[in-house]
Amino acid sequence: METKRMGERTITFSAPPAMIGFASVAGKKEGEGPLGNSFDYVAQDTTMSEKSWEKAESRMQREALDRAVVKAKISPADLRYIFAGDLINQCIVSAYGIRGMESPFIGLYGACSTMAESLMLAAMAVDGEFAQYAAAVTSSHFAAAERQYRFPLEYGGQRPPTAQWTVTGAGAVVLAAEGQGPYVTRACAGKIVDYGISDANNMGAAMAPAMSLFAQPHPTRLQSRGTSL
Amino acid sequence: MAIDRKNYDSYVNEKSPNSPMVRDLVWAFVIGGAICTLGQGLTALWKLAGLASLDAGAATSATLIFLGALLTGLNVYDNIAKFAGAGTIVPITGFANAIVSAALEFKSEGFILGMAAKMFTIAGPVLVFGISGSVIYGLILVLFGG
Repeated sequence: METKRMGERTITFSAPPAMIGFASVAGKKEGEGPLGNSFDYVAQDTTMSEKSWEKAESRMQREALDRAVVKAKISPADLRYIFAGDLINQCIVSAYGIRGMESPFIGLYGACSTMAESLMLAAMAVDGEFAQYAAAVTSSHFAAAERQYRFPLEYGGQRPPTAQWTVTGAGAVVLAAEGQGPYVTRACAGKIVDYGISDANNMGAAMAPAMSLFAQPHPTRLQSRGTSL
Repeated sequence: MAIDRKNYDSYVNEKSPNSPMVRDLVWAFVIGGAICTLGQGLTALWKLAGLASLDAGAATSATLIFLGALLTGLNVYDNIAKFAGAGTIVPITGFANAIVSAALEFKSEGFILGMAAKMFTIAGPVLVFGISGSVIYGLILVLFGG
């Protein structure tokens, strides 16, 4: 039955879905970084003219999706599913961002992995012939995440050197059963590896064990096919 | 060394960069000291203005709280605090910053249940333990202080 499985974790798509449209929206700080020129839209005002950070993030997410759909040259109603997620309680940013679209919304939460997670599930939907087109969308906003997880922006706390910076931005990809690549050929879902890190300012250390397990070469079946996972 | 759940914590501690202690301490001393010096200056000014010693102290606290709140609202206090650390948290201006920053952040959730309810999310514990502590010490003083 598991004709598309390659190993314990890796799956391979028999008809690799094509990324026919993709777009990114980023905040001012991200726009000033080394990737600055590659974003479709850099918001100089990270409030996006909204009254709350969460609403601003919803706007960014929708902006990314709208741009991806335009670049894919399809109608928004062609999307059979929208897989979307963010960091905020109840995925509220995605729900309000996707609101108004005709397509079914499948809310996801994978924190840092949400983009990969949504891409994998959208690719499964397309390769599984459940959808001609499906979208994968993810967003985060520094100020919204700080408010929910850490301290108010104006609070005079110090960040330890291990603290990370939550990206302000959104990305969207439209997958299609046919079309010009890049293609999603394989996917490998990780698992939860909890080594007991409870420091909210050291997320790298919390995530590293899962990644190191995930990146270890998987024996037997995979190696016989000449891949490492 | 094989890394497993048991020794991961110590491995992380060993690999994580530490805060620059000397730099942090110098900044905390300089900025914290400057706030205290300002407080001393304000006390002198309030006394010059004719206030009694005890009243001048209260007026100084109120002035520093006002300045801390104002600088928080102007998006200045947290920028000083990035360097000063404990130097800006420990003085009374830090208490004002903790309340005002939370009030600003949560006003988007409404005036009553947002701003008013959540302005104590950081300062709340200080009030709870400060007030509880003073009640306990007060009781001890009444019972055994004679």
